[in-house]
Amino acid sequence: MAKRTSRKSRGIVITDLIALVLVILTFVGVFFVVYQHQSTQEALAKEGVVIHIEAKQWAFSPDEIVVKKGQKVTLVITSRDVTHGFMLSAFDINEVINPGSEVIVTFIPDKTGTFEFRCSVYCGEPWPGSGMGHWVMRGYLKVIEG
Amino acid sequence: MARFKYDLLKIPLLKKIVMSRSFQFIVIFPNFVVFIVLLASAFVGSPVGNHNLAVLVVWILWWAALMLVLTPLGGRLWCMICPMPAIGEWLQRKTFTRKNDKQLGLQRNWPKKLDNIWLQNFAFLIVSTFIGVLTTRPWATGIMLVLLVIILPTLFFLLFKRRVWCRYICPVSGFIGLYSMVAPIELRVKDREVCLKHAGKECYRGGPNAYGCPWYEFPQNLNRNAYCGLCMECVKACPLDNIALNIRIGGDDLYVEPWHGLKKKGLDEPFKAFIMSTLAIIYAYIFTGPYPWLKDVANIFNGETFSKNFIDNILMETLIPDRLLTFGGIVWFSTLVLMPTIFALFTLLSKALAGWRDTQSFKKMFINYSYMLVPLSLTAWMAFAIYILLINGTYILAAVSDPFNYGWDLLGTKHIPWTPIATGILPYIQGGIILLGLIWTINTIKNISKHMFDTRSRALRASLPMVILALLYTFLVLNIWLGPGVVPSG
Repeated sequence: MAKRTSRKSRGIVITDLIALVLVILTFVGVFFVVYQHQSTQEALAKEGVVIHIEAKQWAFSPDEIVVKKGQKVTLVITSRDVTHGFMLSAFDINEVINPGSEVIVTFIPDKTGTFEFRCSVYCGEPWPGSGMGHWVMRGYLKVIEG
Repeated sequence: MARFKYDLLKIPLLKKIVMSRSFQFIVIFPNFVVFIVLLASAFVGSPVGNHNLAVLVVWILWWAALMLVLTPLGGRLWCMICPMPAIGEWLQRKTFTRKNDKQLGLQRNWPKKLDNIWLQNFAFLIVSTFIGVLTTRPWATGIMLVLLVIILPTLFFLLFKRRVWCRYICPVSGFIGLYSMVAPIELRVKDREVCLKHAGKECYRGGPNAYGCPWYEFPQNLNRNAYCGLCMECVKACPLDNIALNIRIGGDDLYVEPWHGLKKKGLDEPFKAFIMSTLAIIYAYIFTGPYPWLKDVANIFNGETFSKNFIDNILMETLIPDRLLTFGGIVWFSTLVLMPTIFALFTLLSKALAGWRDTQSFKKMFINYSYMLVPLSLTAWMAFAIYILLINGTYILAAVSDPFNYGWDLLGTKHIPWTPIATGILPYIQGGIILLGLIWTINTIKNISKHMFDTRSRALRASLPMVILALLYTFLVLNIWLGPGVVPSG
């Protein structure tokens, strides 16, 4: 009888241990995913030049960027208000920027010059048919010799 | 005629699972994992409400599941699997699965004066005051989750004995308890006489392998579902195998005095019914109604921009005191003053028709008839829940594929556009639910009257104003959903 009881209590201790491991794994797992992402972001920043661009009605900030030819460029683009687009056709880039999301674009500029980037998703205008607002939301990327 | 009942614990496998000390952990843990993911999502995920998994799961999926399935069919089934008390209870018991008599914390008794659900009523009103912010700001949902799942329950578990949090404070528990009374499932003793003759009372005091009822219920006196959390401790504790988990058709929960008359119904449950029936209308107007000013006023914070960092998102917000006072005023006044006053007037009319000299006091009629609002408001909430689920449910499919806003597409559903579902038949489904609620309510009124009055004619006369009130409420809810002006909330 005593043997059966001790076997039973041993079994219960093991289930408690398994439960503890599962709970710890849950916390650690979620923390690890979040931490891993942050680390990747930081590593990206160390690798080359990282430029944060914020889109808002109706401007990019900054709206003028200077980078060197041949240098890896990472653009981290966010929106403050509504959905915008980021189109840099000279380097085949066209992304949708949802508010709150972070769009990361990495490229190596292989030509020098001044290139226009603009909003490619209609994001409104001060009054209908004004030709302002979205239609003039643009910025410039200047690529200079490295 | 005896009502149909079938004891699910007659199924050997189910009985074996329930008898296991690991049962509670097994049913809570999956929800606990989901909660941790949601918590992370609330803080690191998209700051936009309709792209954030925490907001979408809590305010659309979970709410719809509670109102459409879990509560009307399972009673307090959610309480059985709820992760809110998990951390606190694990700490209090110092174990996940074992029976441990030496518990952590101060182990205080809950004050007798607070043996009611008034705190739950106020807790729900506080949450409702902030509903415009909670449903649109992930950081707000995140803070709410931290408070309601980690900090407050843990505090109460370490201060008091048993599940004081669930029984007296949790804002969700109050209405689940109210609606669980119409559920087709009940935990009851098989034979009350057996309990009355048995001195051990392990179901309340605890046994060698089980805790005494964490919800402060005494199974031998259970005659309503309201405060039985279906934790199954009493099933494990009972040495006489006298506890049944019945599937039932019908039930007397709404008509009987608690604990076979050993306890008396107070005003706390009727006010919960007033709160729920009023908020079913206010929520419908906020989320779908043709009154933009109400949406604006419910939005008591003034944050119009988004940042990737959740702390920035909070810092960008400023409280608008005017809106807080106006919307808070609407919520608290309509639920605690307006609705009870209207109900009191109809009760007066009912008393007048039944006869002023009738033995039933106004207070007793006021309390007893308030339970007619249970099916009436439950079906109003079901109409609301099915609307938000079908109209906004596709947001969840997109958000679940990238819960932390890291650019993932785990399920390949990230780019599913917002697509309202079944919009053509939705008003008919809602109309059907609401009309079914009316029939159910009229039947409830009939039964309440039958339990209160000795003659049929008196019962009939007393019922009349209540039926008119139910008709007016139904007309209002039908008008919200089927009348002009319902706008998709996406």
